[in-house]
Amino acid sequence: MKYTYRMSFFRPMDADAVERYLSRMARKGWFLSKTGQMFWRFRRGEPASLTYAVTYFPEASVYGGPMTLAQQELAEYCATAGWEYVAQWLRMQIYVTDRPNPVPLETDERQKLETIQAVFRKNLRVNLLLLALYLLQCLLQSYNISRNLLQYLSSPAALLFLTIWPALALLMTENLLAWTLWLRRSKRSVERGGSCAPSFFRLSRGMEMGVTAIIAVFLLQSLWYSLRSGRGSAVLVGGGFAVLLLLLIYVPVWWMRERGFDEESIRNVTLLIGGVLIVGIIVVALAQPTFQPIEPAWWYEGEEARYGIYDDPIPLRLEDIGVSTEGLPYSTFSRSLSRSPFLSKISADHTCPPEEELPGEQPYLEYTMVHVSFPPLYDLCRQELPWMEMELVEDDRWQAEAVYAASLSDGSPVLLVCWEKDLLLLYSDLIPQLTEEQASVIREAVTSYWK
Amino acid sequence: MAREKFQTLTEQMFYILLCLREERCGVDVMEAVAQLTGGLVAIGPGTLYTLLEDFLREGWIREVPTQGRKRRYCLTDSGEARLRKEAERLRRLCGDFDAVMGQGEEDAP
Repeated sequence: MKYTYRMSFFRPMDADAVERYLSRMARKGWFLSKTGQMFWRFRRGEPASLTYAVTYFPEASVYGGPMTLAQQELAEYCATAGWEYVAQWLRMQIYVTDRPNPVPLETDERQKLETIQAVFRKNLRVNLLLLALYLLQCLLQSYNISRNLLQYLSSPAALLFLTIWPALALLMTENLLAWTLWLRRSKRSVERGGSCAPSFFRLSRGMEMGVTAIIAVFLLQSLWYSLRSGRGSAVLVGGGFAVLLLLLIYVPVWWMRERGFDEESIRNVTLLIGGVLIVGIIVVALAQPTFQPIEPAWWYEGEEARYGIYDDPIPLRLEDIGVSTEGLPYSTFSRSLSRSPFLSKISADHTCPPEEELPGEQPYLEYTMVHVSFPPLYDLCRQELPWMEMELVEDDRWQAEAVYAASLSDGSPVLLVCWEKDLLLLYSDLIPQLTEEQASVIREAVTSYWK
Repeated sequence: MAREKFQTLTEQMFYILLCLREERCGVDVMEAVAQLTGGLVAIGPGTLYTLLEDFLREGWIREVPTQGRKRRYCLTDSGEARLRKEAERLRRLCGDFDAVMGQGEEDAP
């Protein structure tokens, strides 16, 4: 038998839209055979002119499962009136008939409205709780963003979560507002002897589709940029972990639903599993060190200490600007890279043994390069990149749009150089004596690195 | 809301209560209402189910113990009182109608 699956964008008050949609699908030869939380399954058949109708059952389990005795009783009444039970979705019961002028499932609009209100009240507490959770996440994110804006904007995973929580909060708010407005309009209409108001299905569907599309785009960009940044294995592990978590929750729910457990039992088990998982994750996270250093390429056994030596591919080394490190026991190159559609950021350094190991000051190069792909963010990045007060200076060596300078507490120089799309925050004791030629090499390294 | 709702009975409420003077299951009620009204009053199955539950809660009907799975109901004393009160209200309405329209008919040439 041939089946097709369609994503469902309906909400509990969209009875009229569900009825129209299912009748339209039947005319095309697709008949609803099963409903899921997100996808509905349709069976292929001969196109037919059928009438679908929806009635509400506040006591029904949102998890579906076998019909209760009360639902069977309702189905019997419906069968007497010529309606055949099709499926249940949330607390909606879907029926179909091929009779040309059937008695409607609901013949008392006031009664119907009260039943829908009861469904709304049942969902309200959970929905408000979810909204509070989403808003709390938004708040936490705002706090984190304010602390490290550039890190957020350049991290594909952070951008994904930056999108998900506000999107969910927006959808839930819209859902609650739509419910409230619909109930108010319907109440007014019913009091005047009319019928329940039409739902805001088109608006709701438009919003849900839009938000789903935005989340999908951010998810794809997150995967794409993570893979490009060489973090494919981390993406796989993270994805696998997320799937495992979902399975740990979904499989018991599915098992209990198939065996006809009531809604309260399923909800309690879900909460219990969710709670255990959350506590488990927190315990594991606390047991692990917060920062796991990357294993260095090799270790240098110094007289005073042991030094991890890294050999990361960095965009600019001391040798590139003609500074020799020959004769030094080691040079270490480390970097951290993050890249998103908005901006790319790399922090890197080339350092030599410290004074404790080698007499005299050794040269060093520490820098953060930012490439802004989304121009409106440029000024924001320029303000956020340096963490100290910097002063605008005249410095023609860099052929830049602007150059800012500052000194650290120990007198070490810091420079912020701004080109059209690139920013460079440079820490090096070489800054004062860099020649125009050396500055040109650095400029070339910075502006061509992301191409 | 329930109190406000039942201040006056709708046609459907009226006929469901009326048909439950005799012990019946929900399906029988639907058929009895259709027969009694000659098909003029149709009760949707969803509406019937909800109203039966409401009437049970109000104490206007009660479940009758049965052997089978089908629930059967019958009118209680308070249900009958409510039904009579509604019938009285309707009679008063009809009386008012007759008084006014009857007068009008007599005046008519």
